[in-house]
Amino acid sequence: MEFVIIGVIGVLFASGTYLILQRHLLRVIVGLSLYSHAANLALMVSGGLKRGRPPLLTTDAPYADPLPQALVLTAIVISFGMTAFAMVLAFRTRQVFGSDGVDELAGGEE
Amino acid sequence: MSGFLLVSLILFPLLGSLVSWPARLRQRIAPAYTLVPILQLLIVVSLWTTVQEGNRLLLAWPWLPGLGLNLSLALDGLSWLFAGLISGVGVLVFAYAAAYMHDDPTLPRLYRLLLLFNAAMMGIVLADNLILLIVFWELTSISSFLLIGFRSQRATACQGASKAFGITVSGGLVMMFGVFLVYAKHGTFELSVLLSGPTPISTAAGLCFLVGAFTKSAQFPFHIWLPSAMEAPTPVSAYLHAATMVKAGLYLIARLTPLFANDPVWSATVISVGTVTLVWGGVLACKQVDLKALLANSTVSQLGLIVLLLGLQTEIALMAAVLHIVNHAAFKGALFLTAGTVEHETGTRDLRQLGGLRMLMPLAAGAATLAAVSMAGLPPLGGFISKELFYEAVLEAGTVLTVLAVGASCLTFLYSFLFFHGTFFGQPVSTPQQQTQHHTGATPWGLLLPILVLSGIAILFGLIPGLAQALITPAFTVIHGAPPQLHLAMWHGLTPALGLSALTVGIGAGAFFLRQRFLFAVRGRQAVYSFNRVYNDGLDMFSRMFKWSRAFYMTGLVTDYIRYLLIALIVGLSVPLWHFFDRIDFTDIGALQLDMVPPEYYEIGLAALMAFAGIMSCTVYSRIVLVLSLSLVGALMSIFFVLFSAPDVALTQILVEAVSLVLFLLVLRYFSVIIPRPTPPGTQVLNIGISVGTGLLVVLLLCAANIGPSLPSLIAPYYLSNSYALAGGQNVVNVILVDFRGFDTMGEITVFSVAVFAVFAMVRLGEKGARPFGAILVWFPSPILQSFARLTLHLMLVFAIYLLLRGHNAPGGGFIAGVLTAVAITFQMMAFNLEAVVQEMPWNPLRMVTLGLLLAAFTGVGALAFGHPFLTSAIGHFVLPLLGEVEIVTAIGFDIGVYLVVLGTTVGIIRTIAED
Repeated sequence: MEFVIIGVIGVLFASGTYLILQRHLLRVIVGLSLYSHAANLALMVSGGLKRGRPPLLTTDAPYADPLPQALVLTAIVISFGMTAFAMVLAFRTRQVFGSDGVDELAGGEE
Repeated sequence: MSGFLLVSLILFPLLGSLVSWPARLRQRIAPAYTLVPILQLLIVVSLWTTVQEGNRLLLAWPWLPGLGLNLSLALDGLSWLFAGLISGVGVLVFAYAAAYMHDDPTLPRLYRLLLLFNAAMMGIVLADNLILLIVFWELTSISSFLLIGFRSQRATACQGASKAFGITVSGGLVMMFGVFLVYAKHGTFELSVLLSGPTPISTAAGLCFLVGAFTKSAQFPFHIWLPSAMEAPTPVSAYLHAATMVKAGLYLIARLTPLFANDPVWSATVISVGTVTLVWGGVLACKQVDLKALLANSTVSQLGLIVLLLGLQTEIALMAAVLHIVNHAAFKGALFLTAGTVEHETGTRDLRQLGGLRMLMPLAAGAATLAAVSMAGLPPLGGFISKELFYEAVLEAGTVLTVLAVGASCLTFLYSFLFFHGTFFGQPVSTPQQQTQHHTGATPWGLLLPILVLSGIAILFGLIPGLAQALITPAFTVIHGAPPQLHLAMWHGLTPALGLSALTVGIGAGAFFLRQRFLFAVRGRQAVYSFNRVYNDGLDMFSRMFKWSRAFYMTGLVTDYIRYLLIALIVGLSVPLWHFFDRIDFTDIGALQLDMVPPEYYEIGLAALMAFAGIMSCTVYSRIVLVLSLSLVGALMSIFFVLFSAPDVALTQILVEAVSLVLFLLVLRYFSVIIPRPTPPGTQVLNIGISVGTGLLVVLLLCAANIGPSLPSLIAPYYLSNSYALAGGQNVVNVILVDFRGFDTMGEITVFSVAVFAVFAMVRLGEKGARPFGAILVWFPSPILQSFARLTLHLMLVFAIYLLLRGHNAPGGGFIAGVLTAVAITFQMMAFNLEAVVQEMPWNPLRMVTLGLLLAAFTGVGALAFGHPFLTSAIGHFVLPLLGEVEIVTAIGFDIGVYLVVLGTTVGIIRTIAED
């Protein structure tokens, strides 16, 4: 199963990269969100996958590794904050520059 | 105690430099900065007995011993001599600066920069660790840069500063390379270890060190920065560019001499560079008409002289070198300060406009004349003794060197006489400044006394050679390895050296009297092609080259820069990955120990759907389908977490996904329609290539991580076995968040809360009410939604509190409860009027965030009050009516803090965006 998930992670990273390289800011933001999903999956895989073994001491051992879960949990919340900020940033960019296309925001010399 | 003294030699000036005084006080107390070098001088003097006995003070504080990085300082005779120069000349220069710039508001800044330099220079001579030495070395370059460019409104000052910086820092880099060469071979950065070790240092490393020393000490062909550095205020020129900083290179050569005593390449390089510099500097000095330019070129020449002596490495030569370091500091310091005083009093430094000043400032004239005569090498001054030793040393070395030495000495004689004669004797040339200047009569004592003291030292060394001998003996012993056999004296009898001195005086005096014939013709004329031009043209060429190449790749388009980064990542990581997989035998799958769970069919379906959603998001152009495909990935993620034993994460994921979707839908109307524009096929292929490459890279990295026996986790068993015992919680994930790694969580909720403030600032602080797209949210009240919302609100809130309280023992906790409450409130916002919901809320979201952060922090600090580390939890059992026995852990306070932060931030973001 690990290698199946690794394949999915690869697809998500590839899709995320493709979207980040696009000119429309909404697609860039979606690409970033795909990145964080893929990263979370990678963290989970690194801890090893176990079915039906939640790290609750009220159940029986063995347990799934709790550390990646704790990391992923906060990562999810923080990536929400990041996505929200990116969206507002894009929205303000459109307000100020009148465009949400990356190529129209190119900086010139100085 | 003595270790403390060593540190304080560097620390005091550093503190003095860093402390800023209130603007009102600043100007008035500026002269008090002089106390710092005075204190330093007292410390140095108190260490005299230690070095006189040949002892060595060593202070080593290990910092990163594994990398050889230690804060180690050492003081021996050589360091002591330089420390004495730095602090002693420092006292005089600081006192002089107070008078020289008495009403100048920039004086405090000058003092602070001078102190920074002083600390760095002290660091160079005291550092025992070579890396530490380099840090201080570059710090002197930086402070020198700031001091040369002190009058930054002048273009020449800025050019001079950057030239000096460019040359000395490049030299420093080469030197650093040498240090690494040494470390690679000897495994240590400690000078004391290297000096006591038997193995010789490689010549290559030695040459690297020499480049550093030559650039710092303005040796040919790097000498061009020193004359340009004369843009600095005169006290700076006297201190940095005559007495101390330019001697850092000499210090380095002297310090390393024992290591290269038998290296012919080293001594040949040092001798030849020193000789060329000696002669060339002298020629340049004679041409100058500006007092400071003359002195700068003469400094170049004199530094060359000392370098030459250090290269000869004989006893006489080394003795002469050390003596001349001190002598030069005395007479050149005095002469620079004289130039400053003359300029201060007359408003000019041009020899063609000066003359006859002995009437106006007799004391300065006398002192400067003596100092210049010492530089010329005439008896009975200190300069004569070192000149005699110099002649004896070159006589031993051969005829060519002797001839060159005599020639250079004649030049020295000539420019010394040009300096004092042109300024103080001859016809008074009245300049407009002289007539109008207000300093008629007495020159301020502050501008005179330091000159008198320095000249006095030059005389004293001549009259009492024993004093000089005593002072330099410890330093000499360090360089030479044995105490000196010879004794300094004014009169050595009728020696060949004396004859050469007489010859020098004869030729020099002849040239001086004939100066009208040849000198004034070349004076002040710029050479057609000088090393300065080479330097400037080279710089221009580089600048043009970089401009051209930059235009090629700096497109200003962020997308391009991301492409560069990703390509670099792919290329950079594929090499180690290739090596990794190259070593693996894929024929025997069993040996790879692919420790994996066999997939179930529905899991395969889940994975396929996830991949499909990911690819779909790349191909759709409808904004809403794009957002929905992202949400699909998120929802599938939460199913994945459910399947693989992560209930807490699954709950968080699904709730956050709900809020994100609302957020995306709210802002969607602010984005323009995605117009599928034909991308150039090349770009499209490149994008796809980079994307696939990145994906493959990640896959290979993760495969590499999963191949082979899985290492037993060291942390997880600890958490699992101690979760209940130490933190009283059964839900290990939550315990990790609020207890084991509570400090991390504290940081994370702080970062998260920043998002709401950032969003708030971005939206609210922009043009208020600017809705350029005419998209006003039309809100349709839906009775079905409203009654459903009314029904579920309290249910959801109670459930959230339940999740929050049970979080320590079952899936739940602050993060999940916070997002759930936010979902409940968002639901209300969607069903009812936004403002009405906001009115109902007990606190404004931003206040909730602040409160949550404070609560979390206080819970952590609470543990400190009981003597435990930050965020240690205490456990207690209580019996509550109806609910039965409840275990209360102080971590719940922290979790409530997390809850408030997450809730406040999420609601705050949604509300801020929805309102606009």
